[in-house]
Amino acid sequence: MKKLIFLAFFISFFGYSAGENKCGELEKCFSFDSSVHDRDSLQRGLGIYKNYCSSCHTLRYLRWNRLQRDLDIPETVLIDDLISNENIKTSDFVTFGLPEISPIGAPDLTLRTRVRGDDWIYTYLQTFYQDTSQATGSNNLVYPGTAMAHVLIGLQGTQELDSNGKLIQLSKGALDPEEFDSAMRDLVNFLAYASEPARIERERNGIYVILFFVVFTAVMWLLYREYK
Amino acid sequence: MQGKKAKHIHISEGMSLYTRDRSPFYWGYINIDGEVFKKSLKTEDKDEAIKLLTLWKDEILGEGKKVLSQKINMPVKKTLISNTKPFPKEKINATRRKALQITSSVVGAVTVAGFAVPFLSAWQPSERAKALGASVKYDLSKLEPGAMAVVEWRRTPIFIVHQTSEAIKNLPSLNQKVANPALEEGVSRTTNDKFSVVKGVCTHLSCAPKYHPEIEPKAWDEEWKGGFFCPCHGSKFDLAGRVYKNVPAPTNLEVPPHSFEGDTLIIGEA
Amino acid sequence: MASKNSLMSWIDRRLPVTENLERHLTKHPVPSKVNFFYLFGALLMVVFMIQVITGIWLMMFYTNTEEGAFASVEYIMRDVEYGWLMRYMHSTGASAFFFLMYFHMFRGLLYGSYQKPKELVWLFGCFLLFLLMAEGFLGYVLPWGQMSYWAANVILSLFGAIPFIGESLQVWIQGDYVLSGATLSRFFALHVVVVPLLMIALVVFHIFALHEVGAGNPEGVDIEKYRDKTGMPLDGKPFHPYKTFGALPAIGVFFIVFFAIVYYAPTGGGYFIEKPNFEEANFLKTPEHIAPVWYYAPFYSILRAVTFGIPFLGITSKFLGFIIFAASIAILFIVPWLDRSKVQSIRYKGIFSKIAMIMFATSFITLGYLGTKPVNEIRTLIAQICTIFYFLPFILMPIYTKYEKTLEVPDRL
Repeated sequence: MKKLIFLAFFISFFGYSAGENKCGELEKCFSFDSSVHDRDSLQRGLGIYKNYCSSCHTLRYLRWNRLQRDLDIPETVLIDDLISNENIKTSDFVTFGLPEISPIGAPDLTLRTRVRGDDWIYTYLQTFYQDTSQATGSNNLVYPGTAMAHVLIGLQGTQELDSNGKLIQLSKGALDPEEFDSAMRDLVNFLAYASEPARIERERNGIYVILFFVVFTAVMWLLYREYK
Repeated sequence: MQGKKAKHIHISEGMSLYTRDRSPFYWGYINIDGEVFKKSLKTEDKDEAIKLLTLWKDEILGEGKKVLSQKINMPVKKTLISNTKPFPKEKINATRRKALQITSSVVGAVTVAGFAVPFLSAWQPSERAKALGASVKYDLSKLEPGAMAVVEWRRTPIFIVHQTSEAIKNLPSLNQKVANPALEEGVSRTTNDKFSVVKGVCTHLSCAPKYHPEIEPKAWDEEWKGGFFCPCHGSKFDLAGRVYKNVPAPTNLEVPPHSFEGDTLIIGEA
Repeated sequence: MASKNSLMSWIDRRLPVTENLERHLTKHPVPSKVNFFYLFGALLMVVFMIQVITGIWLMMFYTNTEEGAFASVEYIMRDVEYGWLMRYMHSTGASAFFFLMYFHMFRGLLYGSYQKPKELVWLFGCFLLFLLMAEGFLGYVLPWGQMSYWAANVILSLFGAIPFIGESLQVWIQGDYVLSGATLSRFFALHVVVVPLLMIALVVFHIFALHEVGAGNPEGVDIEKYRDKTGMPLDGKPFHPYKTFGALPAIGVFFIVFFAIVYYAPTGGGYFIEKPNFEEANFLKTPEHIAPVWYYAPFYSILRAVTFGIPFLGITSKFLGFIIFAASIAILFIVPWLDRSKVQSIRYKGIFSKIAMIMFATSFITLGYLGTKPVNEIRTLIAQICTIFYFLPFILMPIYTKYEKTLEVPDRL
């Protein structure tokens, strides 16, 4: 009986995550579990980041050479297309030449998915809508009043709120909704990688460590039985 | 008695069986001169229980020696036991035991080694150290002949000398004056005759030698053909960094790992 | 005590090695039948070792200043080889330490491990709990994340709530008018040197006190009463190798779970490393919801449940909360004197003791759950009820343990 209580107490930890799934001001986030093992997805995410995010947001805890190694980026692409600044070495941090403290208040994004959660970022990026009362011309369902403009408007197109507070498409962007959703997955995967590059190695090697200790337990159990 | 369903079965004087609602087994109750003993006989069979009960009574009367008084809460001074032989309920299989001892020792050793790996690896230079210690590039096209540039690599000043043709001509004539002519290294001691690359650290006590390329008599040498002079203790080196004889410094100025890529000099491993 | 080996005899003449190996291991009798609850002591020692070793290594790369702390943790996670593994082992180890500690103590409550003559063992243990709580708090401040900063603020302000001396005391602890780098640097010294040394000393006393008296067992039987001709208790076995080898598979199981967490859920779903802590401390921005790490949640809940003060005594609700929060830990120290039962183990105690234990355990767990959530009216009410149910088993203990009907304890295992 006691063993059951013990086990129940212990297992209940993991089914349950701290904080409700409330998404900022939104009731519930669109659910998304990032994966860092699809290298193509990470590369596409990096591409989107470079094109749409890097003019305001730094990734100042990530080094270029780490990014190159983990995503398998060819040297020429790294130096010409991504860094494109001969004063920056590959061992430098990914700051895109931006100052450490952003003059417009755009936070560094290296750890953002760990602070907010994958779901939150994924939902945030998709719930911008047209709002002429805001200085940027748009507002966001997850983070109302955000100072960030609808940067991805070119890909997503415009949305607006109907009378029930639901989002409806106004005009089309370069990508249709499924493609945009897929692009956002790639982008959040990339951000999840940036917030913990070691995750690739960690998730890959864990099973071997655990299996070793299964063997360890088995051998030690047999030894213990000798002396019971 | 305890429990609602306890059954008390009298066997003989001071000896009974009873059951308890906590346990499926028979329990033994023995009373010897007012001292009461109770324990589980670990059997559901009544006849076996009676047999065990009798054996137990003999055990208490014969072997068991009560060392202390009956109160459970009396403080107990521990005495060491003199016998440490194992209590085999079954025969000990010596080979199996030995095999398991060896196997578990091996597994234990592998575990320790496995734990050691991350901790020992963590002492390797980190990415930051590698970034700071990375190779340094220098554009040679900006360096005039006869001029010297100083570049920092791994916290050491590196002297890059653009040798004039006169200097290259003069260097072999100094082969007798230097302690170690290092002929196998070539005239400039690099793969490129026009440039010498040496660490600006005097091999005596690590002062920074001064660059004196002028070919004229100097206070430290009447026939000075250009080179380095260390002001601390007067060591002399030629323009390729080779140390003169009879000076405090014992060896030539060290040549760091380097390579040439067109007009670019790379100091450090590529 | 004579050894045949001449090297060992040379050593033994100068340092009692063999004698102590026998006294504590090979000739030390322990009860032959105990259950898995009795493994937690050994596991706690393993976790302590993990914390010390990973802690030492983290210290080699950590910067204990306000400016450098947060970045140095990311340096460890990214630039140092296997730094991430050491960080996660240390953070998971901290949670494991508390998890095992709570079950270890619960075993003590269930089986009467605190009863005479083991009161000192229990006292040293309670002191170890207190030190562990201090150590965890100090350690959590070191990464200097948002939660490090703001949770520290909350706890330090409790000291500030003490009447008369509170404000100056808080400034003295902080080393500054507000929580700052000065506080961080001294917390670093306390966390790395002072508290660990105290804990090591206490663990040594805890084990010596235990070995002097002998370990208990789930039946609450005194195994010392009946011995055979050689002096060995009939119900006892030498600690080594009969029980020491039993710790090994337990350690294996522990590591399976431990590394499953380290490799696949290192933040513990946001319970072991809280989300706001991945953002650098910003004294101009308060997190939405300041919650302590899970292992402080029950006590934090008790603290928050006290929503009233005693005005005519000049005691604010904050200070009263602090007092009751401290009392919830302090009351554990006096349990050996609260328990008047003739019987050691819950197995033979009466119905009231059993109800009391269930009441205590459920209120502890419920308080823990509530402590991780933001407050609202219902939650506060439940927390207040649970606080009463937390203290009741102890306050009434002298009465129900003395008068309840107990079962007869067997003589032998």
